Amino acid sequence: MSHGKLAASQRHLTLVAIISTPPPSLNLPPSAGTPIHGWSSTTDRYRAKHEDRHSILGHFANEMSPFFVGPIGTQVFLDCFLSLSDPTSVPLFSIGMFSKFTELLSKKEVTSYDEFVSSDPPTLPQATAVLWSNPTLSEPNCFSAYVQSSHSQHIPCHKPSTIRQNPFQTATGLLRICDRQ
Amino acid sequence: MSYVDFIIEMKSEGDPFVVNILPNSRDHTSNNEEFYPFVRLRVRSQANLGQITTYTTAILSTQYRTHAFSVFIVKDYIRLI
Repeated sequence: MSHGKLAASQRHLTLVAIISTPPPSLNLPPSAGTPIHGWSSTTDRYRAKHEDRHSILGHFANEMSPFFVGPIGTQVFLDCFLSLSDPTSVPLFSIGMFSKFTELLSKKEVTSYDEFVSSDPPTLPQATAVLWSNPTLSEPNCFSAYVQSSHSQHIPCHKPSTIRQNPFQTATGLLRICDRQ
Repeated sequence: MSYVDFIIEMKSEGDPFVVNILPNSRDHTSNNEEFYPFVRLRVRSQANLGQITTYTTAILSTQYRTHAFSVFIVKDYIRLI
């Protein structure tokens, strides 16, 4: 086998090794069936290493026993869990109460981009990273900042609606809250 | 499991809960030091309680819920849990 073929086969083997042991993904759906764990139960050489179903169910029962406090009357149950008089509970369903929400879902997603996403180039020199609201400022919902690293330039107060900059397009400089007017 | 609203479990025996709670009663069949007068921790009852606990755990693990209900049928009566 030539050196080139050997190197190619080694790359192939490495690739296969990586594919055969993928890292765990957090996006995997939960496995079907009852999620009974298979923890190691003992180091006793004469017993099974993993607990069986019966002992696991016993652990569940023992763990949950303190939370079964006793029988409850029907009306008390309804008042506690399905109360209709509680003003803080979820409002009663009425026809049309979700109309605005469904209308919002029917709108194309791209039409909302301008309200939340902007690809405009930054208007500030070598700015910026993150903006924080400053509660010490007199004007509500107002941001004040200065570029710390390069120019120490104070940037006057901007309302959030007027700040249209993409923090991912600027690498240098750090925009920070400035409460020293 | 993410679409389950509630579970219904039916058993012919082994109700894990006490029908009539007697004052100062104690379930001597269990080895627990703690005393839970409403729970009957005999072997069959303990397995049934662990089973419905498993189902509820699965529901609450896969859905955004604050609580879940279960229906447990034993012989000729039903418990709403």
